[in-house]
Amino acid sequence: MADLTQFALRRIGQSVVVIWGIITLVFLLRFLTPQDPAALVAPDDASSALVDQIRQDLGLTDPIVIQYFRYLADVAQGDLGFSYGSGVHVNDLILGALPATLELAFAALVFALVISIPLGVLSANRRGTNTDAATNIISLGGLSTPNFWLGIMLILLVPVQLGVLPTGGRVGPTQDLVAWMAHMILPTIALGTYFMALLFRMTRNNVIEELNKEYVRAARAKGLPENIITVRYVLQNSMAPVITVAGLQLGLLIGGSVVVEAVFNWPGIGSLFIQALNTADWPIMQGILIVVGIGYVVINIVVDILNAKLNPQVSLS
Amino acid sequence: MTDTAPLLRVRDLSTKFFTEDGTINAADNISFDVNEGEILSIVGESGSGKSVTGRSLLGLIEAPGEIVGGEIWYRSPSLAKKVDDEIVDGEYVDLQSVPPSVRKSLLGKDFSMIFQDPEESFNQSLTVGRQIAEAVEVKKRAETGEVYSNIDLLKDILTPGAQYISEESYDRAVELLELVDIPDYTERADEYPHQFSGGMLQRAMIAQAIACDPAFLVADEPTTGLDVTIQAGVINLLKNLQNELDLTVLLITHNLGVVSRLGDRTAVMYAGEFFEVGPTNSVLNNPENPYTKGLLNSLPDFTESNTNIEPIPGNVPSLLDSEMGVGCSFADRCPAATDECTGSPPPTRTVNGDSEHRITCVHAGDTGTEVSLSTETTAREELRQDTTSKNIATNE
Amino acid sequence: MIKKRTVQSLKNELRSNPTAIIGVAIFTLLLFGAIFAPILAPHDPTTQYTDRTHQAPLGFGGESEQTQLVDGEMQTVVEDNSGTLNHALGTDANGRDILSRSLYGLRTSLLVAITAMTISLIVGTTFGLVSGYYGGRIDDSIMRFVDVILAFPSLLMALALFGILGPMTVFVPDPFAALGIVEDRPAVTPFPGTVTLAISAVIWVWIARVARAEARQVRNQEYVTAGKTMGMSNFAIIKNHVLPNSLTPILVLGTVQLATIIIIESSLSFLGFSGTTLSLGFDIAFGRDYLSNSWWISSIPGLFIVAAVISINLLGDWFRDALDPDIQGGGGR
Repeated sequence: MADLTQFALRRIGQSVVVIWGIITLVFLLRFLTPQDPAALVAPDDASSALVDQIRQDLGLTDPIVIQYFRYLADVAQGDLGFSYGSGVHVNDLILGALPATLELAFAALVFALVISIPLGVLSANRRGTNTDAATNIISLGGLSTPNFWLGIMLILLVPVQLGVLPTGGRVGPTQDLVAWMAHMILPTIALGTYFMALLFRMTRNNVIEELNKEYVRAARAKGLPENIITVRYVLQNSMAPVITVAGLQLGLLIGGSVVVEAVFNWPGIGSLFIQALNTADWPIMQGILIVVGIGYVVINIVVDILNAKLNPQVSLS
Repeated sequence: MTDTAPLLRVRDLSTKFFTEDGTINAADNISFDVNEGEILSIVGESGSGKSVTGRSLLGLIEAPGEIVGGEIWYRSPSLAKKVDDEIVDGEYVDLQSVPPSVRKSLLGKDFSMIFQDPEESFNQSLTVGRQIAEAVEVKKRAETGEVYSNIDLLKDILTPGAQYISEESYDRAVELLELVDIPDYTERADEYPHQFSGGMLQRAMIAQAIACDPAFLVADEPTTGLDVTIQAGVINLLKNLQNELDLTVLLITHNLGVVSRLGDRTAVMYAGEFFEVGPTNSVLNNPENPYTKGLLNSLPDFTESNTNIEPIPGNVPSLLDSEMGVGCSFADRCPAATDECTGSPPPTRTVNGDSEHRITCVHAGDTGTEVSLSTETTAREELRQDTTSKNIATNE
Repeated sequence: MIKKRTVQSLKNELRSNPTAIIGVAIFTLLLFGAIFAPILAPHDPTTQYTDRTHQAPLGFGGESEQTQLVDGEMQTVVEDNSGTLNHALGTDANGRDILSRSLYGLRTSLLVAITAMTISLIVGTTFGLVSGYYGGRIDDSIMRFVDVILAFPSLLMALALFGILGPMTVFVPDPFAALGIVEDRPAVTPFPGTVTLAISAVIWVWIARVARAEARQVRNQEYVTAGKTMGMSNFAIIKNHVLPNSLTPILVLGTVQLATIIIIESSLSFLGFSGTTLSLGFDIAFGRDYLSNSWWISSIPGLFIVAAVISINLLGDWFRDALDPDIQGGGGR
């Protein structure tokens, strides 16, 4: 497995540039806004001299280059700055909101995988039959439905019409396990459906392609049982693109949950971002962007390593 | 002439492919026998249907293909006891009539196959050793009666090193790699197919195919993808193994050189039909069918520098049902063709009084000796009528 | 620039594939509705008919309690608000006609989508082809930049850009009103500039990636080498050889992205960051408070979005089935 370690190290090395790019881009974004952070922090009746003073204290009068390196250094040490508007450290705010988002994203991922992969294999095996047609139509619907509208429709159907399940908010697992799950069901479905439809389609297409290949026939000629062939021969070789897309989408789930969080009043970083946007609290927005961006890069590395393990002939040869 | 009954008797096998463009007659009413312990070569150009024939015997035809007619009698006393009497004829069982699960159960135990392109035929994501061990395990479980279940699948996914395969199977896999002359066989077993060269991978495929000690092996173009220098090694390996293990082999190839080295008997196939069958020496040295002659003439003769190579004019005909005629399918390219050839199906006759050497042609063969292409001279009707007869008509 | 062979394959596929026909049909219908919204809409989408608030769609019955001024007193009156033909899809809480609003909202969505798609295609194809053709340092820098942008979820990025630029609404005069074809319709269409730019900024990278992969494939082809030998400039080679041969996967990707763009646009306007209130997302948000009685206010605009996106997805499938490019590998053949 030395090959795998080498591969992993190489990928991490490549990613350093991207991470640096992320931090730089995020830094630059703030400079593009017309708002003046000093004016936001200062009390309403502050004199312009006071505002200037605040500006200097905040280090905003230093040349950009200096501010840039200071920012780089801070972020490298894990310090995402201080929120002007709320007077709280950005790290604390994000750490407070991140678990809720991760929880939802992870649940959506599991929901999507558990349904899409078996269904994709089934559909591929029954290609051309009514089962296949039905699942294809459903997946098309899932792919075409905006997640926020789906969320609202779910709220309309379940809590409003049927009277079960809450309409929003979150309850921690330690407080009440049943309530925790109940609160998670609808947001998970809303967030995970698009994901599920996408992965279903990909799995089905890939499996159909693999089923036609000679090594599958050879495996049958060997007398291997169908379940081993389906999983270790067909699926294992179909999964590479699916895993890649799943990884990409997962990263997008973390930010894309913004809208679903809004619909269900879910206290995650999406909601935090919107609050910050409404109050022009750039340190929070920047902090979230950095966390999300770097998280995405890390997920990509993990996905690549996973793929290298599953299909060594592609990455390591 | 063999004095033991054939291992396989194929009668009127027809395999068609139902495609969007039409129905293709890949194998058109073929009859032949495969004798125990022999290497029968089926020779023909691409598209002649030889590969389809081999796969039909093993039951590996998938949609849009289907075996639409005929019988495949397999001599297996043990199997004959397990199935319905209607499909048994003495020690023979008609594989076309057995339940699919029974047919499938023969794969990897009684029957085995070597595929043409080893890179395409191995799972690139699993080690070679594991894949060979799997083949060993299949046979082992068939003998011990241990059944495959989802527990095995779980073990396979959750534990490293495919714990559902027993240690002995793995050890045997390594032995097999040694048997096929792969150097560093212990290390190689843990490597992946992409780390093997073409020739070595083909040897590994052979190892996998003989892992279950099969009664019958189909080798589909085993040397075609390989460099010429490597081919010789693989051919020798096959010959030796076949001798040592007393395998019955159906060798499918378009390479006459391979046939001359390996085949005991040779069948020449064209457009889904057998044109000539007989001992390899006879067929290659005294071909009677114009197609066979043409085929041999189109090879460069390395001993004589002055002879011209004569290619066969024209193209291989379409196998589409709608386009095939009643008569001989070679008629439009045959130098000896006459009107008689296209009017009706050409007869099958013996050649030079040798009942082993048969030919389907209007113009060749010993006249008046119409026979079937199999070594059975008795008509198929007799087999049907007398299903309880223990006395299959002998070779003649 | 688009090869005849491509057009022929598309036609053939359309003939034999019923879902492709459905996709084309629905999309054409919606496009027609969006373009001719001022004519097709039965009412001005901004007019509030205060006497007909919360009216159900045609075929649905309903009552609502409304507090109205009756004879100088505020009373609670039970109103029959069953559907009428006048407001075939009902009215919202302020009495605005939902059908009219949805048509105009669809217009906004499609306008934004087509504009953003065009910008993304131009920018993305240019950068991608250059990157793939030249390779080396240029390729590395552009691709790292692309990687950086791809690291952010499109919505967050779009929101951040919105925070920087503000709505940037462009008031486009409506040709139908200007030409006097319709009366009593909005004279201007508010076009959400930032939303369009923000979406373009995140979508162009997908196009660039695919264009790059294609260019890399094509640059090794013999006709490119031949062109170079004949002294063609790089620009000419890119324009005449690389571009036409790279088009197919870009086309297919384009249709997929079109669907994504519509969803992003409606998500942004749902959250309140748009620049126009004549948007399907905005209407959905507006109806949230009335789910228990006036469910149609949120549902119907959503159905329009779903219809649009389904039809575009079917178009995408049509393109992919007809032209059969290997999207995942970015052009591997």
